[in-house]
Amino acid sequence: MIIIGLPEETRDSFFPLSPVIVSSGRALVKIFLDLWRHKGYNIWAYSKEIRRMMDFSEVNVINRQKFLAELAKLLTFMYEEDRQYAMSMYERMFDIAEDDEQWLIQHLMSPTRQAVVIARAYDAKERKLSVSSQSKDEDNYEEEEGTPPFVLAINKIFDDLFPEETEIPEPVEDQVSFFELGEISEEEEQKKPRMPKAATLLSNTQEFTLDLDALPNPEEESEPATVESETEAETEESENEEMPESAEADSDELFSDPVAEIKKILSESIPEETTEVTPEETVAEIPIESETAPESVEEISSTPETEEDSVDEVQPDADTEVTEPTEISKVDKADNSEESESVPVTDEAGLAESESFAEPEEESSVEQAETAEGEAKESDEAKEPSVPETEPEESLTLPPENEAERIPDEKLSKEEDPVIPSVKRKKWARKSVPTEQAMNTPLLILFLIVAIPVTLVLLALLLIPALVSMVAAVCLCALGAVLVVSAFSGFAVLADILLLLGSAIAMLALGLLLLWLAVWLIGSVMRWLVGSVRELAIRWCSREVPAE
Amino acid sequence: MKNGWRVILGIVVVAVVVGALCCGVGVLTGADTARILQNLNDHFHLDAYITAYTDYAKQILKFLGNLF
Repeated sequence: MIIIGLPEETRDSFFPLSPVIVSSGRALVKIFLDLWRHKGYNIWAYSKEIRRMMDFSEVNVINRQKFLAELAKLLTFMYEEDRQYAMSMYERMFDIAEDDEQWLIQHLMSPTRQAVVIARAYDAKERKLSVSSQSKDEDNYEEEEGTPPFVLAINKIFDDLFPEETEIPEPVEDQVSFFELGEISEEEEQKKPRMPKAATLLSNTQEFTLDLDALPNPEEESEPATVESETEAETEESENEEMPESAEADSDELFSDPVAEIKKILSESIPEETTEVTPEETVAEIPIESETAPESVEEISSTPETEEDSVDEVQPDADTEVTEPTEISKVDKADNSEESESVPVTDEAGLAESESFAEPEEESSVEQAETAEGEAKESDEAKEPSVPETEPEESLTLPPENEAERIPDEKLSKEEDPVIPSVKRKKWARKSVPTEQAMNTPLLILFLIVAIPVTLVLLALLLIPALVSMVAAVCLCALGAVLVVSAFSGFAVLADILLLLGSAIAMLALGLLLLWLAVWLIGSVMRWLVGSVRELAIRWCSREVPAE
Repeated sequence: MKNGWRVILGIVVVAVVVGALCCGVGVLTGADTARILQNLNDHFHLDAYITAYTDYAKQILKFLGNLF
């Protein structure tokens, strides 16, 4: 800056090289600015990209053994028990992806990345207390104190990589299981099959919307509705009086009075159509609406069967309403004869759902489930003859498309058999068979006969450059020291002293570099050579056998 | 070892840069290499060492030439 600030004549007289320096400085500044404009913004991104590429190249090079060895080195911050457990999980991961080892390594990215993931999830203080108790029994993570966070982190990686191996959640103990069907009380048994029927009811609302024009005048059929109106009025009164009971009966009402529920949905969805078709309903009070609604819907869709199924179970008083067929229901009887066959299918679907919630433990339990399912079918068939007249009129079952959707689900749930992944997963999580290495002594002797001379030759070859660099380093350091001493003792001109000091510093720096190179060659490369020969001996002359 | 390499390389780079700067400033401020060599020669008798080692090398080469 001082040079640039001076006038050109003065500057050139004092500093003959100043024009060269100034021009070269300008050129350097220009180059730097160009670089900054074009690439400088993304220097960080470039460095990230380069780092990623380096990781990728690392992934391409390393194999399973190197990956695990590197990971084991990086996980030394963990307690030994935890480290072994984590390593066993990764080994298991490699076992599963045996054919696609490189794929797995590429998705795991690098051992460093995995170590970071584990380190983030690892709480050393927390583990310090638990490791002592776990050391007695290594496989008690889940039973005693919950899964440690680092195991969850590895499990998450596993889930990401092997989604087909994910564990299906087991049902809660309090949950009603299909296998407990024989022990269930009658009330619970009545509640169970209602679920799919409710689904069918809610899914068939579109059918009613199509036939809303055919809604009859409620005054014409007031007689059969009176009984129901009385019962429903009573229930509404009881609801107003006692809230807990109504809350308990909500689920029952949903299925015991499905037509009213559908009517409610319809009135919410298409209020204009209902007002156009049945203007009396708008004027009538709400209980009257509930009176007319069941019959009208019954006539339209001819669905006394499902009503009866649901109503029979909860409200046997409503039989009078259901057992009266209307003209439209007679007309639709033939059309719905096929749909009436879908009753056992929906029941099977319901049973399949209950089966999917059941606890999958053994194949015998599955067989037991099948037998129980057969019994349930028989019980359904036994119930059906009690209402033979209204059976073919059932239309509140699933339409054929929905059946087609449900049946494959049922088949899949039987074919896939969620028992296998969960058991496999548990085995994967807990399987850590301890092994030890058994050496093959004759082979080891043979290997040593060959390896020792070769290793010695290589060591000698490495020793020569190490010694040369050390001698050169010593010479350079000595020369630098002599120059420093002579600079301050024998020279009077400042420029000469600066030149000598500069060259002395550079020589000392090079001497230091060469000295370090010698130390590195002796301390690191030779140790690596010996270690690699030892590793080779272990790899070739030993095999893993299960520890006793 | 990696940290060692980092530290050593850092020191070396800094030292080389400083040395280069010193040399540059010395050259810019009028340092003369002939004068420096003359001064060192007077102080350490470099010519005598150079002449002696050159003679040793010639004798060794002559000996080796006679052998082969």
